[in-house]
Amino acid sequence: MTAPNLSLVLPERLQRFVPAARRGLAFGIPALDALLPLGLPRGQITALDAPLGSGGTALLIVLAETTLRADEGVAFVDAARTLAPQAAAHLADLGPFWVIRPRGTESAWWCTDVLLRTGAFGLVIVDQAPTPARTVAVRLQRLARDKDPALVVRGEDVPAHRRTGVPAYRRTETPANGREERGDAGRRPAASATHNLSVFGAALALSVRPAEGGFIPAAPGSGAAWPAPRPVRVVIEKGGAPRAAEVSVGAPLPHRLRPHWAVRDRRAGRPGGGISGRTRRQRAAQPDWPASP
Amino acid sequence: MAFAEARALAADLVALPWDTERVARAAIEVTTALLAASPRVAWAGGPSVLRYAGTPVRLAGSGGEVGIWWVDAAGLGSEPKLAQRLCRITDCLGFGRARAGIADSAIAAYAAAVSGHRGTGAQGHRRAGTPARRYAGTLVRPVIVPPGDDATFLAPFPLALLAPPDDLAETCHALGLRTVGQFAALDSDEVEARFGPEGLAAHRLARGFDTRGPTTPRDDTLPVIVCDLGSPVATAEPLLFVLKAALASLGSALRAKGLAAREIALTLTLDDGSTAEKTVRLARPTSHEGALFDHCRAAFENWKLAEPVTSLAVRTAVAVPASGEQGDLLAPRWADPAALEAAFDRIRGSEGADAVAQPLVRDGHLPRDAGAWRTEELAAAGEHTAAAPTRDTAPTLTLGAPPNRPAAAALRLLQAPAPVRVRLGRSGLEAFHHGETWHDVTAWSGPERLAPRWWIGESAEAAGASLPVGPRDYYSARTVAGTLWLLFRAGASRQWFVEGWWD
Repeated sequence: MTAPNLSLVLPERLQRFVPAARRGLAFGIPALDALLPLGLPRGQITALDAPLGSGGTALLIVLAETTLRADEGVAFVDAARTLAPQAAAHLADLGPFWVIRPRGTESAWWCTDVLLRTGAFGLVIVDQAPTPARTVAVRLQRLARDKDPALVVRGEDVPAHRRTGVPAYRRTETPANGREERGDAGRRPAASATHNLSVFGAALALSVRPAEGGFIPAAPGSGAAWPAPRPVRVVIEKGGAPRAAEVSVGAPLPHRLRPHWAVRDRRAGRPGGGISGRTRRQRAAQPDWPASP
Repeated sequence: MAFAEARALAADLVALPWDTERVARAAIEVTTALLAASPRVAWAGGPSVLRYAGTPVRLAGSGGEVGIWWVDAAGLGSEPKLAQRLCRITDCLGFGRARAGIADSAIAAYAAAVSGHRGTGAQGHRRAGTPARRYAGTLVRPVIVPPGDDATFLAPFPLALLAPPDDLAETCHALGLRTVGQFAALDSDEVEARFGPEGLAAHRLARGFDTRGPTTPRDDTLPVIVCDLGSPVATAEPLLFVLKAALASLGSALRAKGLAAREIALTLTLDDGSTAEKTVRLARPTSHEGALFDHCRAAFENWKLAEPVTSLAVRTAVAVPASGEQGDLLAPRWADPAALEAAFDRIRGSEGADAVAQPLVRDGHLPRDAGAWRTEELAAAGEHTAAAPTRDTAPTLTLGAPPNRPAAAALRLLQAPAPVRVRLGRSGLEAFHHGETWHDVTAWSGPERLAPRWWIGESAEAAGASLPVGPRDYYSARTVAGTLWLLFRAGASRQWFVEGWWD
């Protein structure tokens, strides 16, 4: 029997006793955890650039859930007061989870300051807050460094036209992939829908965008599970090697709103469906849906 | 008397070295024996002489502090019998020359003990009416000072009884002050001004105020911190600065007593002599100065005063025993709950009572009714008990689920549904205008007709928004940008509204 090679065995055995290197917060999504092997940095600011409807809130909710399961408190500053309680109700059962809903978006940073000073939270999320002053950003940086939470900031969603200066009569929503849509001459490519987060000097910056080709089937009632989970792309903009990962985000629509090919629209004009029989004037006065296929 | 002089008087006198350990062992033996008579006994010659208040009885031995014991006689019945019992105990231990004095203060008891004596002669100080009794071969004549007469009893004693510092003794001798009574007759402010704190302490002893003794003082008064600002202050910043220091002292005093403040009274003395008072009630008793400051600072923010402030007093109006709550040693993060509650109180005070909330799910068929916010007020009122998640509202992802399961998009709701313009076409909803932008629709689904809870008299106006009454037809629409929106139309005019989106 050969003696074990101590140079190989001892480090492995010692790892059980030596505490692991200080790590950040895990996301709880394997693709993102692989993208960020060290996790979200503690004591620093992470900027999240996620336009409206891109799935940013879903990722923040998952991050909060993972943090709560790690026995750390989470505070969510909902500056715009738009978070539906049922979306995060399951988090309140996991641990100390508080949602701060200030009266105005301007108060969000003051609330964040107060929360950071308690030192009671491992994760503080500021969602949809306007750009703070430079002094405020610096103070928050210092507080985060002193109190060691992970501070995630998601900027206020600003419509693209405010950034590109498109006239009102030409303002239409631009595709998420930035391509100009057919038939709309003069429309500029989409810029970032969130305002500038560089004032924070964040250690880590992530951007969330819907991935190309990830839209739902165009025709409802096609029998597919609609709306299907769609992939979103999370890209490291700063604080690491420029890599990206795709995460699926699904909308938990009530089953009632999911169409089924066998269930016809009850609002059809006649039992047989369809809107035939109504005059053009009647249809113009009260537009109705075409009969479901 | 020097040893040589004593040797001259007694040729067989033997000098033994001072054995500290032997003396300490004997003192312990005596102290233990004296405990049979009184539960509170302290040896004055020990390394820690505790300072107490009570009714001490002092036994004077052969001389010096080594042979002196403080025994508390409060609540033990007849004081002469107690003194006799104590002397009997010391007799049994071989200390047959014990003397006892009983008074309200330690200094008076000591004086009574040193003035009393054993024997039949009328030597030393003996107050009229003190009986002399015979006990088993001994004659003990305890000297008992009537209650409240300590100063009178001490008056004829020499100033050396107070053991004053040398400079004080010389000064008093130069001034012709020989007795304790003459020194006690001086004004205390003048004594302090001339002789300093040591002189003041001796002056208090001369008047019979002595906190030494074997009992623990019961200080039932709650701590009060008073700060004189010196000059009138008209702004809040200096007041907050002084307040912070005062609360730090208050917190230390509370912790020393094992108490936590439930209510703090702030009293400001104004320039015109009037006072303004405010009471701060804490949601959670605490002695943490940070939490106290956060609560009290909020009281200053909206406090309007007619005159500048000249003095600040912070008083603990209501105190409770401290809970001694501690965090788990292995917990990755723990903070003082009182500090967290104080932070929440600050936020609620500034942003409203509903600014700090916890989400909970509710059984409702309207998207806006499927959840609620649990605030402090509602929790106290017992409302909004969490309902079991329904199939429609349950999240689609929990940790531990298969890794390829998608993350659940969260519903975001506008504070009030916003009316929008829509563009309809052959395929139905083609676009809607919201937020200064036209949103082109790539796919939609609906309608689903939902009505407000008419069975309990609820209508759209009950929500505070100017929404049309009646049932609503809900639609979900996916736009070019990939956002999934929630819209509905309602009312006789079939006006369209956007209620929220999924993110």
